[in-house]
Amino acid sequence: MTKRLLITRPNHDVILSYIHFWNNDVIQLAKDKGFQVKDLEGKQADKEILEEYLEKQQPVLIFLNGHGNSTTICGHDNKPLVDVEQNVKLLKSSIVHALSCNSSEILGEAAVKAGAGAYLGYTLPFSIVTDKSSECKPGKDRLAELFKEPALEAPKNLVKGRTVGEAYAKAKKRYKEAILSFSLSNSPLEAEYIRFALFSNMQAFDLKCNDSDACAW
Amino acid sequence: MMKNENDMLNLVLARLSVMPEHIAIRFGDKSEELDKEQLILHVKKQDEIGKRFVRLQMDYIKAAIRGFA
Repeated sequence: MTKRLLITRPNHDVILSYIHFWNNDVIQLAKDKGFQVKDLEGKQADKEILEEYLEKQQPVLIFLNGHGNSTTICGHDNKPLVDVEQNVKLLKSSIVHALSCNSSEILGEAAVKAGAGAYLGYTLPFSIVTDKSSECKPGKDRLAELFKEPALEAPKNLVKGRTVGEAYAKAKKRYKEAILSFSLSNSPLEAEYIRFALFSNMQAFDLKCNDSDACAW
Repeated sequence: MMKNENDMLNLVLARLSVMPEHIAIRFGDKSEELDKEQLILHVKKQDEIGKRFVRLQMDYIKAAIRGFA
Protein backbone atom coordinates (compact mmCIF):
# COMPACT_ATOMS: atom_id res chain seq x y z
CA MET A 1 0.00 0.00 0.00
CA THR A 2 1.30 3.44 -0.95
CA LYS A 3 2.30 5.62 1.98
CA ARG A 4 1.55 9.24 1.22
CA LEU A 5 2.94 12.41 2.77
CA LEU A 6 1.52 15.86 2.11
CA ILE A 7 3.77 18.78 2.99
CA THR A 8 3.04 22.50 2.69
CA ARG A 9 5.92 24.98 2.71
CA PRO A 10 5.26 28.53 1.65
CA ASN A 11 8.38 30.67 1.39
CA HIS A 12 7.29 34.28 0.96
CA ASP A 13 9.20 35.74 3.93
CA VAL A 14 12.41 35.24 5.86
CA ILE A 15 11.37 32.77 8.55
CA LEU A 16 9.36 30.74 6.03
CA SER A 17 12.30 30.65 3.65
CA TYR A 18 14.38 29.03 6.39
CA ILE A 19 11.69 26.48 7.20
CA HIS A 20 11.11 25.81 3.50
CA PHE A 21 14.81 25.08 3.08
CA TRP A 22 15.07 22.92 6.22
CA ASN A 23 12.27 20.67 5.00
CA ASN A 24 14.25 19.53 1.97
CA ASP A 25 15.81 17.05 4.40
CA VAL A 26 12.41 15.76 5.53
CA ILE A 27 11.23 15.32 1.95
CA GLN A 28 14.37 13.42 0.99
CA LEU A 29 14.08 11.19 4.05
CA ALA A 30 10.42 10.48 3.26
CA LYS A 31 11.26 9.54 -0.33
CA ASP A 32 14.06 7.28 0.92
CA LYS A 33 11.54 5.60 3.22
CA GLY A 34 9.18 4.92 0.33
CA PHE A 35 6.66 7.72 0.79
CA GLN A 36 4.93 9.28 -2.18
CA VAL A 37 5.40 12.97 -1.37
CA LYS A 38 3.01 15.74 -2.43
CA ASP A 39 4.99 18.95 -1.94
CA LEU A 40 2.89 22.11 -1.94
CA GLU A 41 5.67 24.67 -1.93
CA GLY A 42 5.57 28.41 -2.54
CA LYS A 43 2.41 29.44 -4.42
CA GLN A 44 1.26 25.81 -4.45
CA ALA A 45 0.55 26.16 -0.73
CA ASP A 46 -3.00 27.08 -1.62
CA LYS A 47 -6.29 26.09 0.02
CA GLU A 48 -7.97 24.87 -3.17
CA ILE A 49 -5.01 22.73 -4.17
CA LEU A 50 -4.74 21.30 -0.66
CA GLU A 51 -8.45 20.53 -0.44
CA GLU A 52 -8.55 18.93 -3.88
CA TYR A 53 -5.66 16.66 -2.91
CA LEU A 54 -7.06 15.73 0.50
CA GLU A 55 -10.50 14.96 -0.91
CA LYS A 56 -8.96 12.42 -3.31
CA GLN A 57 -6.05 11.05 -1.29
CA GLN A 58 -5.62 10.08 2.31
CA PRO A 59 -2.03 10.83 3.24
CA VAL A 60 -0.97 9.06 6.39
CA LEU A 61 1.21 12.07 7.26
CA ILE A 62 0.49 15.78 6.79
CA PHE A 63 3.27 18.27 7.58
CA LEU A 64 2.00 21.86 7.62
CA ASN A 65 4.61 24.62 7.63
CA GLY A 66 3.48 28.23 7.59
CA HIS A 67 2.31 31.13 9.66
CA GLY A 68 -0.60 30.44 11.91
CA ASN A 69 -2.63 31.22 14.95
CA SER A 70 -4.76 29.21 17.34
CA THR A 71 -7.41 28.44 14.72
CA THR A 72 -5.71 28.67 11.33
CA ILE A 73 -2.59 27.63 9.45
CA CYS A 74 -1.70 29.70 6.43
CA GLY A 75 -0.16 29.04 3.06
CA HIS A 76 1.25 31.32 0.39
CA ASP A 77 0.88 35.04 1.16
CA ASN A 78 -0.57 34.10 4.57
CA LYS A 79 -3.90 33.06 3.07
CA PRO A 80 -5.72 30.49 5.24
CA LEU A 81 -5.00 26.91 4.30
CA VAL A 82 -6.50 24.92 7.16
CA ASP A 83 -9.05 26.51 9.45
CA VAL A 84 -10.96 25.18 12.41
CA GLU A 85 -14.28 26.51 11.09
CA GLN A 86 -13.82 25.57 7.43
CA ASN A 87 -11.90 22.44 6.58
CA VAL A 88 -10.32 20.86 9.65
CA LYS A 89 -12.23 17.66 8.93
CA LEU A 90 -9.94 17.10 5.94
CA LEU A 91 -7.20 16.20 8.42
CA LYS A 92 -9.17 13.13 9.51
CA SER A 93 -7.25 9.86 9.56
CA SER A 94 -3.88 11.59 9.11
CA ILE A 95 -1.12 12.24 11.60
CA VAL A 96 -0.42 15.97 11.47
CA HIS A 97 2.73 17.88 12.35
CA ALA A 98 2.41 21.67 12.23
CA LEU A 99 5.50 23.86 12.31
CA SER A 100 3.40 26.92 12.84
CA CYS A 101 2.64 29.29 15.68
CA ASN A 102 0.00 28.70 18.32
CA SER A 103 -2.07 26.15 16.38
CA SER A 104 -2.02 23.21 18.75
CA GLU A 105 -4.46 24.37 21.40
CA ILE A 106 -7.58 24.92 19.29
CA LEU A 107 -6.88 23.70 15.74
CA GLY A 108 -4.96 20.68 17.01
CA GLU A 109 -7.72 19.73 19.42
CA ALA A 110 -10.34 20.14 16.68
CA ALA A 111 -8.28 18.03 14.26
CA VAL A 112 -8.14 15.14 16.71
CA LYS A 113 -11.86 15.47 17.42
CA ALA A 114 -12.44 15.34 13.65
CA GLY A 115 -10.55 12.04 13.49
CA ALA A 116 -6.90 12.94 12.97
CA GLY A 117 -4.55 10.26 14.32
CA ALA A 118 -2.60 12.93 16.19
CA TYR A 119 -1.64 16.57 16.02
CA LEU A 120 1.86 17.66 16.96
CA GLY A 121 2.20 21.42 17.03
CA TYR A 122 3.03 24.51 19.05
CA THR A 123 0.95 26.31 21.66
CA LEU A 124 3.09 29.48 21.43
CA PRO A 125 4.86 31.25 18.59
CA PHE A 126 7.70 29.26 17.06
CA SER A 127 10.80 31.43 17.34
CA ILE A 128 14.33 31.45 15.99
CA VAL A 129 17.43 33.56 16.49
CA THR A 130 19.01 34.90 13.32
CA ASP A 131 22.30 36.53 12.43
CA LYS A 132 21.34 39.89 10.93
CA SER A 133 24.26 39.75 8.53
CA SER A 134 23.22 36.35 7.12
CA GLU A 135 19.47 36.75 6.90
CA CYS A 136 17.64 35.65 3.77
CA LYS A 137 20.35 33.08 3.16
CA PRO A 138 18.84 29.81 4.35
CA GLY A 139 21.57 27.31 5.12
CA LYS A 140 24.15 30.08 5.62
CA ASP A 141 22.82 31.52 8.87
CA ARG A 142 24.75 29.61 11.56
CA LEU A 143 22.36 30.77 14.30
CA ALA A 144 19.10 29.90 12.57
CA GLU A 145 20.52 26.48 11.64
CA LEU A 146 20.66 25.62 15.36
CA PHE A 147 16.86 25.52 15.41
CA LYS A 148 16.54 23.15 12.48
CA GLU A 149 17.22 19.75 14.02
CA PRO A 150 15.06 20.13 17.13
CA ALA A 151 12.22 21.44 14.95
CA LEU A 152 12.52 18.55 12.49
CA GLU A 153 13.02 15.81 15.07
CA ALA A 154 9.32 14.95 15.32
CA PRO A 155 8.51 14.91 11.58
CA LYS A 156 11.65 12.90 10.83
CA ASN A 157 10.73 10.33 13.47
CA LEU A 158 7.19 10.07 12.15
CA VAL A 159 8.59 9.37 8.67
CA LYS A 160 10.81 6.68 10.22
CA GLY A 161 7.70 4.96 11.57
CA ARG A 162 7.99 5.92 15.20
CA THR A 163 4.77 6.37 17.17
CA VAL A 164 3.47 9.87 17.79
CA GLY A 165 4.33 9.47 21.48
CA GLU A 166 7.91 8.54 20.62
CA ALA A 167 8.26 11.35 18.06
CA TYR A 168 6.98 13.85 20.62
CA ALA A 169 9.32 12.61 23.37
CA LYS A 170 12.34 12.57 21.03
CA ALA A 171 11.65 16.14 19.92
CA LYS A 172 11.39 17.35 23.53
CA LYS A 173 14.65 15.54 24.33
CA ARG A 174 16.37 17.07 21.30
CA TYR A 175 15.28 20.55 22.37
CA LYS A 176 16.59 19.96 25.88
CA GLU A 177 19.93 18.62 24.62
CA ALA A 178 20.29 21.68 22.38
CA ILE A 179 19.54 24.01 25.30
CA LEU A 180 22.03 22.28 27.57
CA SER A 181 24.71 22.27 24.86
CA PHE A 182 24.61 26.07 25.00
CA SER A 183 25.02 26.12 28.75
CA LEU A 184 28.71 25.27 28.60
CA SER A 185 31.34 27.80 29.61
CA ASN A 186 32.69 27.99 26.05
CA SER A 187 29.29 28.86 24.57
CA PRO A 188 29.22 31.73 22.08
CA LEU A 189 28.07 35.27 22.91
CA GLU A 190 24.64 34.58 21.48
CA ALA A 191 24.11 31.50 23.67
CA GLU A 192 21.73 33.15 26.12
CA TYR A 193 19.26 34.09 23.39
CA ILE A 194 19.62 30.82 21.52
CA ARG A 195 18.81 28.97 24.76
CA PHE A 196 15.88 31.27 25.37
CA ALA A 197 14.29 30.69 21.94
CA LEU A 198 14.96 26.94 22.07
CA PHE A 199 13.35 26.82 25.52
CA SER A 200 10.33 28.74 24.27
CA ASN A 201 9.90 26.27 21.39
CA MET A 202 10.39 23.26 23.67
CA GLN A 203 7.81 24.55 26.10
CA ALA A 204 5.35 25.24 23.29
CA PHE A 205 5.71 21.88 21.53
CA ASP A 206 2.58 19.86 22.14
CA LEU A 207 0.90 16.58 21.29
CA LYS A 208 -2.83 16.10 20.91
CA CYS A 209 -4.00 12.54 20.31
CA ASN A 210 -6.28 9.78 21.48
CA ASP A 211 -3.64 7.10 21.02
CA SER A 212 0.05 7.86 21.54
CA ASP A 213 0.92 4.59 19.75
CA ALA A 214 -0.45 5.83 16.42
CA CYS A 215 2.17 5.73 13.69
CA ALA A 216 2.54 6.08 9.94
CA TRP A 217 3.57 2.49 9.18
CA MET B 1 1.94 48.42 38.69
CA MET B 2 3.02 46.03 41.41
CA LYS B 3 6.60 46.19 42.62
CA ASN B 4 7.05 42.60 41.51
CA GLU B 5 6.10 43.50 37.93
CA ASN B 6 8.49 46.43 37.98
CA ASP B 7 11.24 44.14 39.17
CA MET B 8 10.50 41.72 36.35
CA LEU B 9 10.60 44.50 33.76
CA ASN B 10 13.88 45.81 35.11
CA LEU B 11 15.39 42.34 35.12
CA VAL B 12 14.36 41.72 31.49
CA LEU B 13 15.62 45.15 30.41
CA ALA B 14 18.94 44.51 32.15
CA ARG B 15 19.26 41.21 30.32
CA LEU B 16 18.38 42.85 27.00
CA SER B 17 21.03 45.52 27.55
CA VAL B 18 23.73 42.85 27.05
CA MET B 19 22.09 41.20 24.02
CA PRO B 20 24.60 41.10 21.15
CA GLU B 21 23.88 43.74 18.47
CA HIS B 22 24.23 41.38 15.50
CA ILE B 23 21.40 39.00 16.39
CA ALA B 24 17.62 39.20 16.11
CA ILE B 25 14.75 37.08 17.34
CA ARG B 26 11.99 36.21 14.92
CA PHE B 27 8.66 35.05 16.26
CA GLY B 28 6.88 33.04 13.59
CA ASP B 29 3.65 34.97 13.88
CA LYS B 30 5.31 38.34 13.25
CA SER B 31 7.01 39.30 10.03
CA GLU B 32 9.47 41.72 11.63
CA GLU B 33 12.82 40.87 13.11
CA LEU B 34 13.29 41.95 16.69
CA ASP B 35 16.77 43.09 17.58
CA LYS B 36 18.02 44.44 20.89
CA GLU B 37 16.82 48.00 20.30
CA GLN B 38 13.34 46.94 19.15
CA LEU B 39 12.88 44.46 21.97
CA ILE B 40 13.81 47.12 24.53
CA LEU B 41 11.22 49.47 22.98
CA HIS B 42 8.51 46.80 23.03
CA VAL B 43 9.29 45.87 26.64
CA LYS B 44 9.26 49.50 27.76
CA LYS B 45 5.96 50.14 25.94
CA GLN B 46 4.52 46.91 27.33
CA ASP B 47 2.66 46.27 24.08
CA GLU B 48 1.65 42.76 22.98
CA ILE B 49 5.19 41.78 21.96
CA GLY B 50 6.71 43.38 25.05
CA LYS B 51 4.34 41.58 27.41
CA ARG B 52 4.89 38.29 25.62
CA PHE B 53 8.65 38.71 25.76
CA VAL B 54 8.65 39.44 29.50
CA ARG B 55 6.40 36.45 30.20
CA LEU B 56 8.62 34.12 28.14
CA GLN B 57 11.76 35.50 29.78
CA MET B 58 10.37 34.89 33.26
CA ASP B 59 9.41 31.30 32.33
CA TYR B 60 12.89 30.85 30.92
CA ILE B 61 14.66 32.23 33.99
CA LYS B 62 12.63 30.00 36.32
CA ALA B 63 13.40 26.94 34.17
CA ALA B 64 17.10 27.84 33.98
CA ILE B 65 17.25 27.98 37.79
CA ARG B 66 15.85 24.43 37.83
CA GLY B 67 18.43 23.33 35.24
CA PHE B 68 15.66 22.93 32.62
CA ALA B 69 14.62 19.75 34.46
